[in-house]
Amino acid sequence: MNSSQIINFCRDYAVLILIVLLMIVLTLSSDAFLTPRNLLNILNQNAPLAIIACALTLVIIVGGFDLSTGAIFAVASVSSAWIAINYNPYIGLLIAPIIGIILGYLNGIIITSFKVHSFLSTIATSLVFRGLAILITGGFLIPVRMKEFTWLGREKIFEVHVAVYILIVFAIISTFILTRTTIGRYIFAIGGNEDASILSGIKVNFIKIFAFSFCGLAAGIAAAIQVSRISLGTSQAGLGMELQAIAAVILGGTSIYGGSGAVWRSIAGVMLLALINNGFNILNADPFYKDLTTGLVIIAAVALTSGRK
Amino acid sequence: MNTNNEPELDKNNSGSKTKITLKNIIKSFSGITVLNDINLEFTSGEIHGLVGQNGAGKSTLGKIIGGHYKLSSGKIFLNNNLIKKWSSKIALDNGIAMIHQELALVPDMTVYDNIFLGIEENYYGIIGKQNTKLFNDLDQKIGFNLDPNQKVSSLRIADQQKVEIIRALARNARVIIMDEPTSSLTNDEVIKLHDLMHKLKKSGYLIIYVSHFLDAIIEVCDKISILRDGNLIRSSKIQNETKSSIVEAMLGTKEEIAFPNKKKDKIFDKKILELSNIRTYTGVKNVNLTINKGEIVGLLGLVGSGRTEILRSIFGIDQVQSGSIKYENEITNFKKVEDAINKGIVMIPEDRRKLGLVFTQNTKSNISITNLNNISKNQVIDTQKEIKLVKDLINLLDIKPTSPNGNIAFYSGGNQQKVLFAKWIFNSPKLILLDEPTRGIDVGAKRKIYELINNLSSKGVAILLVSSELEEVMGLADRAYLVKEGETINEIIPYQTSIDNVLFELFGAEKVSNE
Repeated sequence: MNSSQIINFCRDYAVLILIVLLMIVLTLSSDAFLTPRNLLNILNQNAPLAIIACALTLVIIVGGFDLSTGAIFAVASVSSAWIAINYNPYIGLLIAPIIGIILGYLNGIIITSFKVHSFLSTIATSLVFRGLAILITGGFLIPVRMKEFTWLGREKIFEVHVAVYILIVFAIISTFILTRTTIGRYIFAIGGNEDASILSGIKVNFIKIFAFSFCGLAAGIAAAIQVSRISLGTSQAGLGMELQAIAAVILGGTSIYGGSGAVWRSIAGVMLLALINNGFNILNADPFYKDLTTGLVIIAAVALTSGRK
Repeated sequence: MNTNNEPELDKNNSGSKTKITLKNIIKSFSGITVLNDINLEFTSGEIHGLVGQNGAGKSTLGKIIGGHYKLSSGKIFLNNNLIKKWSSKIALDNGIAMIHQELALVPDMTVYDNIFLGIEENYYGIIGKQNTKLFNDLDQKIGFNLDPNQKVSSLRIADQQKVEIIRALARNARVIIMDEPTSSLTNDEVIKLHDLMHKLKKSGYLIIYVSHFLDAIIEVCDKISILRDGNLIRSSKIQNETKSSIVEAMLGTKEEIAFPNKKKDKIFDKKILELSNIRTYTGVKNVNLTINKGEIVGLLGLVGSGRTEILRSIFGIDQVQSGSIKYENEITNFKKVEDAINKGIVMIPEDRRKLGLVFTQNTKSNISITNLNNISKNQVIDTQKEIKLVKDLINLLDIKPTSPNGNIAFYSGGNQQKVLFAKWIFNSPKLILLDEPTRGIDVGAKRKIYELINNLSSKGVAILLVSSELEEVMGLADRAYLVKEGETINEIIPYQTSIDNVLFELFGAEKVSNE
């Protein structure tokens, strides 16, 4: 391996290198870190964000942005809680992903039919969706204390939370779509060169709508897990989640300009952010330094990946 | 910061003579030589024309003098001093300004702001009041009568060009390079521009005039340099040249690229495409043409004559305003590219980088993108089939490197072009719209592409070919149309006429000059 290969390797796997470094530091500084219990906990706690990041990867590779995932998350959460209380907890859990798909589909339709950049249109729809969530709750919290509802977020199978299994399945599906299906191929092509894709006869609008619907679905699934876990529907759920998800995707090394990236990268991005958080907890460090440290780590990751092709 | 913007339009107080000397200039783009060993001298007080066919290197030479391109090798001397570093900024600092074919103004700013952009009078960064006197001095000396407060976006192209010229003068430019300045001007405006060029010349300016409008060049230039295939054929006084001597020099006798043999008595009678009175919003005005199965039909015309736009309207990219497109005996003015592709029409675009290939993806994905339906089941791609398909096509077209996972961004132009062909031919198209298939590729790759085009046509594929290389159309096409200003003006059988005849018809028909 010559030096330029080493540099390229660092650029390609910056996020993994940082994760390994951070894990070494944390293992050396605390006995509580490198235990299955702690690691599974990190996964479990961040499963909703990671699920969104997986699907958001598709949107960003196709050349878009989705700033409405947090708001979709909120609508799905409160609808889920409301239906659980008024009708049936199982239908309540099921309704969240369905609402997610519908709202994501709406995003896709608006973006493709009005030809607006998704950055702008999803800022707008996020306000609409958040407003919708407030209207559904009427400004109140919706507590749901039913075992039939809270199992999804709290139960374990073989010592591992259900949410972790869902994350794994969802990540595999996302990866499969992206790397093995025609849709995935078209997503890469459109993000890499939209004009060439149109001239290749690709149904560009359909693919974009698919990506946004899929992202909506992910926000809905994440909402079902979270609302069930905290057994509380609130219109303020998922505030700022869209930015965390975008940060994680980009941090993982998916190109912000579209055309290249991978699902595993986004999960790694989520985990990197989660490890910093976890480190502060188990080391009992002054939480006042948390944002500052997170920001510095992001800058470090960006610096390592700069110039990546 | 900025002190003296006073233009020196009078010969008396200028004094300084500018001389630009080019020695052994070579310029190549990714291995392809576009300028070969150019030696030339330009002196102030002359209008020096650079002429040549499309792709002869005249624009490239202009851009090298203007500092926009770096030299591959060779030397530039300014007033006999060797220049070590050269860029558009340094050129400008030395009084050399270039006015591009596509104007480089900020549309939302006013005329005044555009002229003084970057050299604003300022006090520690705070921009001072508009210096009306300075502007008026500049404007009056040239007689443009521009309104300094008008937005550039509201000006006509000709007036925007004037802004560019004043802008050059405001920077004390002594040398002005104009790249095809008349291409978007009316006859009247061309006359005015030529008057201005005379005026500037008399005041001791040097003007380098790049154009393919020969009449204009002959009328206004003092000296002319003729380029062909990147070589300087000759540089001489305009008095020693005639239009036909220039055309002959531009053409030369080319080194033969063997075109595949044509069967001249082949009869084509199965009509596949017919265009009647096609008009589009993009400048196609009146196009009539037919293509039969297995026939190669060429479109001959100058850059900007609307050839590409004709292809785009057939393919459904640009909407047809009036007229009809009949494909396989059905009226089909395609609204969407997908529809055209589904009917067996494909387009191989001129701009590989922008419209053809996805550079973030490897060769395999680029080739298979149009064929995914054949190698996938329920939307899941069969990777074994894909690799096999791609490998077959790579072998068939002799694409190098041969790896399906190659990074096409680093391929040579010829191999990129082959990838573009590979992408389409697997689907057995019925009609191929081919735009500049050999632009910027080497002779070996050209030959391969010619063979391929011929093989496709002998299998019954109809091909509509656009190329700026006349020899290519003449050598490949069974029939060709001459296109001028968005209209098909004539139909020829290439082997029954000569390139000279075609060129004279295309150039001769240009109505630019004022007799």
